[in-house]
Amino acid sequence: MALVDLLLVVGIIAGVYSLLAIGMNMHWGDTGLLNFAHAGFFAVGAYTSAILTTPPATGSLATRVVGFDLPIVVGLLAGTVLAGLVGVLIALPSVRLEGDYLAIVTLSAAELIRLLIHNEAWLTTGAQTLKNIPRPLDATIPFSYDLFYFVLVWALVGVCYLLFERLSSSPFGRVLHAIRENDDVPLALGKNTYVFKLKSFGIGAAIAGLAGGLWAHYVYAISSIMFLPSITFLIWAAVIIGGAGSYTGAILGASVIVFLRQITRFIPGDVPFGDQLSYIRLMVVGVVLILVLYYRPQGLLGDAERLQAGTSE
Amino acid sequence: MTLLEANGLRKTFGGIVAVEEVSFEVDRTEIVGVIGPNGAGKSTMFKLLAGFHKPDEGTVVFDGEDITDLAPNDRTQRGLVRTFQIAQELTGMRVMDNMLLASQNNPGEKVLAAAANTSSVRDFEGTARDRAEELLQFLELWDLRDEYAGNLSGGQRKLLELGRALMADPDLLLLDEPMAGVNPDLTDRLLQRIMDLRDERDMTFLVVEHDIEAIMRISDTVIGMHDGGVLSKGTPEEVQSDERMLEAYLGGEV
Repeated sequence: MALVDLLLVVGIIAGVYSLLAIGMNMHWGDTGLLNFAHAGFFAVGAYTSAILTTPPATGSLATRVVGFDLPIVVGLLAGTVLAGLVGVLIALPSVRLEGDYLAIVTLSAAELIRLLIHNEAWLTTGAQTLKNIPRPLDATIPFSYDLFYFVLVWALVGVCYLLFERLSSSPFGRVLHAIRENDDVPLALGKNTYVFKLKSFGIGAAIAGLAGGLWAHYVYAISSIMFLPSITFLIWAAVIIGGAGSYTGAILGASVIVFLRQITRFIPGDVPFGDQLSYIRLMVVGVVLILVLYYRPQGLLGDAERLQAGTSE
Repeated sequence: MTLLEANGLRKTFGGIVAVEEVSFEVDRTEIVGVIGPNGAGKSTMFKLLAGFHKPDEGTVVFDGEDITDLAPNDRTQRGLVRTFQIAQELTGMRVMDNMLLASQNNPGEKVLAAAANTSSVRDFEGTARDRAEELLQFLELWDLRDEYAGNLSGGQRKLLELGRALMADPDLLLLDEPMAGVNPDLTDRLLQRIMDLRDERDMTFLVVEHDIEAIMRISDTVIGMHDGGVLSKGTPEEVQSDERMLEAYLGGEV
């Protein structure tokens, strides 16, 4: 595989992770919500779009009886909307919880989603792989398909970046920032903080759903073990490394992490410790996280002044 | 014209009765001062009025409406706004953003309007900035408008707290120790401003304050609290000369 092809694949994955990180940055960077359900929203987007755009399985071993064979754009949109709704649904009972408690509830909610996917075979093919997910314009692209998909994914990253950046600097974003700082204050200033938290959760989850759809339509086949909590943790690392509160930081952080993880896949297995590379990859992410937090606690593109404001006493 | 009415408020925390049988009225354009020694129940009563605590018994009526079960944000939208005793400036937000946050019915707080950045959003923001500028100029915070609020001094934070509450355009402003940590010269100007707002904008104030001298200067009515109840109520002179208040402050039996 030529280097360019390799970089395109890594770039596509980085784009998908960047969308996830953008959503997470709205939750944590803007609103201060400890969301650990991101892998769940990612899964909802991926499965919704896959189920809507494939026909029901046929043959004697087929388990999945549901399938709609709709256009891919319908699937992507539905996956985005449904992930947002699931985000609101999870937030409804939980978003009033303080910090750590919200983290635990959302983490278990994501696992609940994954186990539902794993067990409801009539809908999702269960433990088996959901295969033959169509790629958009698959047969009609005259040049490298990866190049096309790379451009598609990063165009969507660009649109989402502009949209979220605008929301963050709007009066809406100002209320989210106030909730992050001290949610008694916006409450005293007439803001229904509960509803703002729900909106933040829903919007961030929706973008994770879009990422899921783009992922499903690129990789042909998905299964429930792709959506383990480790995805959520990686996105957390991406947002922290990039700098919480910064959308360019979220994109940079996601790209750095994907690059670190994917590039090591192509180290041959016969180098020393080559058979343990998958564990070493996680260690590398951990080491980068520690180094960034030690030398640049605000993250690569975070705002150091904001981090230090009010800590002098 | 009664604007605010507290009827038989009672609040307990575990075995402690913080507020008991507290009833009083605040008339429109009146400045009411609340004094009392530590533990008298001032802060609890204040939170009951602002909606940050729910009373065990009793009701709060604002502008003819029973607001006992309303959330704090709904009270603010009706014109009943509080400040915090310890300035709760939003440290990681700039001074100007702290101010703009307080504007009410901001169309830009709706997601779709914010995403579209409609002209009504921009117009509202422009008007709000002008108002914020005027208030910041008065509070001598204008030069600090682009600083993070966390970088302000203690006194400046109290001023920002007051400015932010005024930005919400209240009918009744509940002030929790607004003078604490503010230098004497500025205290004078703040007191003057409060009286001006009452005279020119028909605003009503309920002020909890330890600075007795300041309270006596601006209040039309003073409420003296002790042991969770209202011990004395009347003009500043009446309350000041009430022997029971003196006893309360000195810690004697009342």
